[in-house]
Amino acid sequence: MDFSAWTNAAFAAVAVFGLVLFGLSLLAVRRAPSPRMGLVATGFLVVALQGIVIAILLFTGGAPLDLLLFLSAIFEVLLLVVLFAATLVR
Amino acid sequence: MEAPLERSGTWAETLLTFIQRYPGVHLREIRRRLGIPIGTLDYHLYRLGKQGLVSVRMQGGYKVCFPETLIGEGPPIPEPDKVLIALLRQPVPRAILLQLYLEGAASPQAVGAAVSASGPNLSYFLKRLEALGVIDRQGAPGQRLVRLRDAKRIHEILLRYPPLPETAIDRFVRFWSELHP
Repeated sequence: MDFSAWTNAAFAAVAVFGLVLFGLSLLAVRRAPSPRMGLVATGFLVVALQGIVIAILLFTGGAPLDLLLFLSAIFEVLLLVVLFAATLVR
Repeated sequence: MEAPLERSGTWAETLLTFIQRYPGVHLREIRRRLGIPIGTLDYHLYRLGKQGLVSVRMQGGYKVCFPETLIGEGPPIPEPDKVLIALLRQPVPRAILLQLYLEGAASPQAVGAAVSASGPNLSYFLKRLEALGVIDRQGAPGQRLVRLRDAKRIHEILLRYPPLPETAIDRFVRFWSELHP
């Protein structure tokens, strides 16, 4: 079974929903400015960037799977670090 | 994201209905909820005020609006209640009064923990509520208790004037703000 089209669509969806949630979190920062809300917004920005970068690499083709997985893992680690910090900060 | 409320009829009608439904609402909140341009809002508030339908006053640095007549047969809002109602449009003082109404007298620290308010924020609103004659602070420093002066009045006000409904942004802020270990 060929998953390539589904993979492209899934990362495009990550980019779209990441951007939507990033927009929502910017409005939230404006409404209730706090370090935590800033970190949450950063987290959603990381998700959106992950979707955009991986989707572009997938659509253009040529990027080795190892590189895609590595980049994806880096974004995931960044996201988890940011959300961890958001959970700890008061 | 934060869709303005549905508008039926003219801006004047929408504005009057909104102010009648949520007396004490402040100007920025009206703009945000109705998506009404500031010039249009000022114009219609001036017209409604001139016709004796609404009144606008400054309170705590905000311009707040009151209807001269409530929806239905309700009597005009008594003057002392207006200041309190406008204050209760903010979540912290509303939560403080509800906490004191449900749980009775408590120390300021216990109230602060229950409503998740920081020290300076809690202290500010306790002072405001005390100045309005809504609460009393009794006892020696360190053993001080906060209590409602007239629980029946607070019961009526909390029921009669519900808070504005939460928007998607409010829910987003609440959800992420409540996360802590």
